[in-house]
Amino acid sequence: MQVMSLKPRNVDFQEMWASLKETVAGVVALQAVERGVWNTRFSDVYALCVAHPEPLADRLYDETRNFLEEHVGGLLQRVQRSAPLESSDYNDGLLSRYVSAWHEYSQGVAYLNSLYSYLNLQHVKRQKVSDAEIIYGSSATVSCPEHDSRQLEVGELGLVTWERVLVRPLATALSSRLVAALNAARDSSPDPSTADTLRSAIHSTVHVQAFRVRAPLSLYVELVLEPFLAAASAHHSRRAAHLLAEGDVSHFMKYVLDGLERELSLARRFLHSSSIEAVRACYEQACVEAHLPALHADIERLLKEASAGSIERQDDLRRMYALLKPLGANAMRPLVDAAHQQAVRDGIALLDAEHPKDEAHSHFVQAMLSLHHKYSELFSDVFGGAQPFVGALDKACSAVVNRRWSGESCARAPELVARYCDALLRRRAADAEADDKLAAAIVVFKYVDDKDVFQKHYARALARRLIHQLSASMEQEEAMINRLKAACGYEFTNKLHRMFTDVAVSADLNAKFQQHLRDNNLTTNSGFFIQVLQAGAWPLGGAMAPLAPPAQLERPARLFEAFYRASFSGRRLAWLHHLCTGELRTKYTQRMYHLSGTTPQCALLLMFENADVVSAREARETLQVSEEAWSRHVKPLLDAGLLTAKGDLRLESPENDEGELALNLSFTCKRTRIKLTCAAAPPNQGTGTNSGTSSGETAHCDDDRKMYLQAALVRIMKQRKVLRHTELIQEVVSQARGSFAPSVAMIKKCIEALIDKQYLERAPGTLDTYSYLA
Amino acid sequence: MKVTVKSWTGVATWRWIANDDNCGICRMPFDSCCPDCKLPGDDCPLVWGACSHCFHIHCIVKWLHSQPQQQCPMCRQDWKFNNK
Repeated sequence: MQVMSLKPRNVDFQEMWASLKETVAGVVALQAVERGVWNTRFSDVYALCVAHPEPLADRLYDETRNFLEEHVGGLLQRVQRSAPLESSDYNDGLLSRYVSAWHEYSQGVAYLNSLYSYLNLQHVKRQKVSDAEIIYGSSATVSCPEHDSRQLEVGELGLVTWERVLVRPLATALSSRLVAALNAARDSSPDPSTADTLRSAIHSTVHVQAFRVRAPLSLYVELVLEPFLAAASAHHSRRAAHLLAEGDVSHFMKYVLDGLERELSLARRFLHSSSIEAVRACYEQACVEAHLPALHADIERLLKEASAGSIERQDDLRRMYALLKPLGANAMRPLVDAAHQQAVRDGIALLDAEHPKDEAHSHFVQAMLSLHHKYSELFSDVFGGAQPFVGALDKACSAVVNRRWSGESCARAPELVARYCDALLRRRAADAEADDKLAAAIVVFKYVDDKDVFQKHYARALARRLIHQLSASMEQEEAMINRLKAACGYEFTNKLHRMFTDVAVSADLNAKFQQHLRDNNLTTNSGFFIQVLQAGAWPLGGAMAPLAPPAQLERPARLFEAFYRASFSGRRLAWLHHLCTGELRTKYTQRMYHLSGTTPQCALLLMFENADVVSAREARETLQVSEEAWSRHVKPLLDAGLLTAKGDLRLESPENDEGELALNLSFTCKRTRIKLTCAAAPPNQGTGTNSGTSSGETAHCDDDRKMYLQAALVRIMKQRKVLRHTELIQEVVSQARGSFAPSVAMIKKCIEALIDKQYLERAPGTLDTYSYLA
Repeated sequence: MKVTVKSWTGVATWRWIANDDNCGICRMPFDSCCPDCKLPGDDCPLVWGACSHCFHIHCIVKWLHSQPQQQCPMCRQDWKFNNK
């Protein structure tokens, strides 16, 4: 073995290249090369590169390039042989010859690259532009290295030569064969060796340019991907049209989805990993997007049947969603809209279903809950709980909940939900599920637009429960208020909390009063309990006209008033006699009956102490009960049979009443406890309107809303100073949404009112801008 | 005795005895509380001056602190708390 010297020396290029070329030819053709020879040639490359007096590296590079071109030219002959270039017969051997040549050559070039390590490292590297220069560009590098005359590493040189000399002439032949082979592979899986060939051929187009920094996949895209996608798109279109023609949409979707799966696995198996998305998009474009109208046409029917419980249709919808989802929001919209409409239709049908009149509230809440439950299950099952469908369900529920029946001026939902809660909270019989039911009612409550109306109804029911002690449990009451607070915020439940506080304070007050009585040796002669409520917080209407209670009742009341005045200065008490209840014992009957009734009722009964018959007018004047309330209090006594009417008794017009009331001395009843009811006074007592509670409530609410809106408008304008009309409306609506959905007309009226009151003005010179007047 | 009273549950509401509906300082109704409080009632009581004018206690205290002379804002008489 020749001793290697690192010293530059004179070399004869011709002689050295001749022996080097021989080895190079061997390496490229993957022939065995002895280690000794390899080492010598390795040193030869070094010697040529550092030759004295002139380095011969450039010459070596040029010769090597010439050699490779010649070699690849030979390979081209070998691969092409007599195969016709235009044919797309992928079994004519061209592909397998190409692949075997590629395997041999690519491997050989890799070895060659090692043999030329010194040249690559010392000579080529110095000329090579850095990656950064390629990517960001510099004045020196305008184009890619592979297109200018700069030298490449020998391995890269080999690949470039391969592309230029062998692939280019065969491009169409390769491309058409590859596409044909892929098409065939779609229908029937090729045998392993063919599959291998195909895959290697495809990936060779990637490897050839793998070293490129810019557009490393361009050859692959040009030769394989683009022709494949074009062919695939045509194929898919044909197949989709065919599928639609031979069956209905369910059939179509099933096969289209199967096809998508197969197409993707084909892509995963043979194509470069970056192409999968392109393949999917091409498939969806051809199969789904082109047939959207056909798919959309059947949505309504599918939803209807799926919501009726058809498992098959649910599967169809699942497929529909899988097909439409990748195409974006526009393709999905008909599905979302249809889902919304289906839920609305179904909801209205549920609400309109037969139900007993006095169960309207529980029917309403339960129908809404079952609707919500059913569709949230269906949508989460079929559409994976995707956000657009959750939104559609929410919109549908709120549309159904707030629907106005024809001829009604406002939705009944607030009242019904409030009544439902009332029924659950006051139920005496232990209802183990009451808690869960109340929690569920919140779901419906959240959809109610007119939350302020709900609050009014709820507050009145709560007041009734608290005053008459009808609540099933205080914990439950409190839990419910906390739920409402969580849903609507502190403002919403403020008054409800105050009512609660009053009840607690009253209990305390009663204890103190009893202590006070004991301390002063006073007594009330009978049981006495009182609730003192804050006038502003309770929706109770005004105090009744002063009643002249009988002595038995007056004494404790006066005692308490004195006590209260001493304890709290500056406060005035007003008795709400229609809410007070007295318990009486009858002594004139055979059995003893326990009666409970309002103060006027008790007082009336006590008047029979010295007489069995009392003139109605006289009784009313003694008790000083207002005309309007008179019949409400007396009627239950007559109905129960405790009193009997004599003569021309006219409760409705007590002024002209000439009748008499008589105590029924022979009163009997199966029960010993008798509760005398008293119809609730209309909320706006005294104004004389006898309209139904609902419309009265609405008128009341309208005023509250106007105040709320004006306050919101002033708050917003105070902060913003100048604001355009549309933005102002938006801000107000978003502030009010928590308690009700204001109409734009109402907001406009409020703005007008504020302009009249000189809180706002129209900004001078503009049409749609307001400014705040400090 | 034909009928005897066994027990009685009374219900009454209270409101402030004031010569006005609104507080003269904050202009909020007396039924409600002063702007600094959230809940009306015992936490935000009313006070009466010797001049018979009445305010939220928080409002009048704030007023008195901000004035060099201790005068009723309504009638300019010297302010004295009336503890009746």
